[in-house]
Amino acid sequence: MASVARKWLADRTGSSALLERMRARQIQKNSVVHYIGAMLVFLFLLEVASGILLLLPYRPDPAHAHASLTAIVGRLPYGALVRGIHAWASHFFVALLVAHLSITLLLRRFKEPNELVWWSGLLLLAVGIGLAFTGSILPWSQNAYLQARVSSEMIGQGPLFGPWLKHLLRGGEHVSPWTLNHAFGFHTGVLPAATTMIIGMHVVFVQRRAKAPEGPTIPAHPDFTLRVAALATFLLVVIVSLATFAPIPLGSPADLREVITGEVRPPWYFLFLHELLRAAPPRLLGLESPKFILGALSVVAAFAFALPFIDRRGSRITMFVGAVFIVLVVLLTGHALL
Amino acid sequence: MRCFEKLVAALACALLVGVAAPAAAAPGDPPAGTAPAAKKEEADAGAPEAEKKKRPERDANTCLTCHRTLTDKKLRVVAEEYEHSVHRDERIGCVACHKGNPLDPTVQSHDKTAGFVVRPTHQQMSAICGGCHEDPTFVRRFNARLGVDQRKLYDLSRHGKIAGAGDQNSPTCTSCHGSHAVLPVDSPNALANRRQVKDLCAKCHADKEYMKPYGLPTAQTEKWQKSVHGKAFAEGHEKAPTCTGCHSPHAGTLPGTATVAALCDRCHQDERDLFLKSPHSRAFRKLGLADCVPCHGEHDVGRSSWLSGMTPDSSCSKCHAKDEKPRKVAEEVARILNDIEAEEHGVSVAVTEARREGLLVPDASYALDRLRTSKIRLIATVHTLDVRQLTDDANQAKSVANEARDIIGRARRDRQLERRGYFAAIGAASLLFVLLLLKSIQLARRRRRSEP
Repeated sequence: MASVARKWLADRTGSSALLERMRARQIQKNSVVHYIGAMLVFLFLLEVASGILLLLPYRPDPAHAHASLTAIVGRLPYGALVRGIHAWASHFFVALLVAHLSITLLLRRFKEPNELVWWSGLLLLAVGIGLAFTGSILPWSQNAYLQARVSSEMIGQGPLFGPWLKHLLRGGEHVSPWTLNHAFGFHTGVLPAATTMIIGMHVVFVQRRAKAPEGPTIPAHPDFTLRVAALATFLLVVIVSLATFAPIPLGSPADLREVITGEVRPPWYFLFLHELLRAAPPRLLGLESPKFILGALSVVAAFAFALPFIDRRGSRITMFVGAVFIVLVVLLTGHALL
Repeated sequence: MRCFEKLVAALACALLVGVAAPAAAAPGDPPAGTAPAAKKEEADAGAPEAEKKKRPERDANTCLTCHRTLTDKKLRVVAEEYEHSVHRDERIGCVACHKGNPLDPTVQSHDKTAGFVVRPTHQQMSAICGGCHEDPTFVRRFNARLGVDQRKLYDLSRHGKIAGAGDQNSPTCTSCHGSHAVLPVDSPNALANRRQVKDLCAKCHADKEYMKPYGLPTAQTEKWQKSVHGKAFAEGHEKAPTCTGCHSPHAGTLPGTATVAALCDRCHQDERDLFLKSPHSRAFRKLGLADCVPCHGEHDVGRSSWLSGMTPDSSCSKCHAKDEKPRKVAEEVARILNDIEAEEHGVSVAVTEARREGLLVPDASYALDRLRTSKIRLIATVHTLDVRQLTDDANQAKSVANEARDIIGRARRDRQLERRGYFAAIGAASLLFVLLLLKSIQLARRRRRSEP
């Protein structure tokens, strides 16, 4: 019965041809980057699915945003689960993205012929962080509102596009109801579409690489797909368990009149920056220190983009510098968390 | 060099023409030929001089110029206090109360023969304040909503009467509103502000020595603090009555309130209407008792459930120690009231706990609100002493309480069911993971075997 159905489907969709091609295709056997990449695709699909479910009961306006989320979590059947999965998976998405790129950097896989893969990966990191950040604003809780204010202020200190990006994020000069509208638009329209396209290009670039993989290999199907399926279910178990046993609190609704007391903490992927800004003296090299730090970071980003040209053969120095940078960021984040 | 000088001269000429042209164009200017710039300066200096003459003593408060700098603290503080007062306005100034001549910047300005008053007596005080505060056109310039009857009311009050009789211990306007640092009553720092007024009254009225000549009791504030009114005030209820809720701040007695009951009536109308239907109403009138006071007291108005019943402190036991039938009614009323208070407390705790668990139960909160309304109605009904009506109301309230409990219970059960769903999902996914893992291990083994 199942084989009949499979044949019927294969005759009409050509899926058997695709599977045949995958069977023939060899993939490097124990490449962490491949598995993380597959997990990222899985997490993105999970985010899209849970995000669409959340889209139905969520109301993107300051008067109702928090109340609608409270209702999702408190009253809708399995609303807390869907929201929990969406929130936790977003953290995993950003974390795995960072890991994916870090490992690529350390293995020096950015060099020829992987330039396009590297660039699309870098773009994906930017878009992924954008997705997570705009998503964190949507609950419009006091903390989300303050984050929107503080983080956009921080982004506004960046060189060239900084002020423009801040304006775009805020939907105007100040944080206002339009900020929520912009965050919603970016989070549910612009950025998911961009992510879909970039992931698509990224996968195509990976597939079309001319060079054959080095070392021991396995077939893309069924070996690799089976392992990926196992890993994905494991990840799902972890995420659902976290959503059940460690729910991310919604916080109190935003009160725009409330005076900011104490420190406003940005999401963890901005913590290293926060820590740097906090520790820096008011002025560095004649520039205001936020401008200097954001400028330095932009230089690092530009350097990362230009890396395939700067370091054509993938030297050990790049690996060393990259490792130092990654360790520094991890240490700063750790220091801020503890 | 000469060329440069010429240039400067030409520029200066151009400048002069530039300045002169608009000035010449202005109407009412002197004819051409006179130096325009010099004339203009003269006119500038002349204008304020004329203005000053038009409104003397208003322009600058010369009193403050000296008093601000005096080394004697007592004399300096008055100036500092006045700076923060609502009267800080050149149209009022120190002279409004102290008279004297502020145009004379010497000590001569404090000439008593010219009308200067150092310290007005209590008799003079209300007339001094009234001098402005009874003038509607003057008062309206500053605050259109401020009344102008304060002095008349004060003169009618006991405070005013003893002041009029020359009692220097009597309270005058300044006793409550301050003398130099007069603040509007709605200012949080004003002594007579709603928040502080109880302390202001207590300053004299809780002082046994001070009240001795007048034969007045001194425990009112203390009693009030223990009363439902005082507690509601302490909890921050905006409408909770403080001293001035019942006692008019200026007249003492509010208009149309010859009896205490008439005062209660201002807020508690329903209770009074219901009371008039009760057997108590007729009996009290026959005995010459004030309607509300025998049961509720005056300043120490208590909670309904404290008052009812036959405990030694209850209001009922004051009169009905021996009577059989009223005794039964009193005990029944107390039971019903205690029951509903317990119900309300129980449901309120349940709702809070549910919220803490993250359950969203707006319907239960709504039921709690209805329960509270029922309680208020029930307490009102107590005034009729109609036990049957009370029992009906109490049963209705109980059903609302049960409804709230049911809603919370259902929400909790749903939550548990959902939890079970989570566990099932986690279990199923884990099982799938294990199967996939085994399958891929099996596959890897098979490949290794076929590889060599």
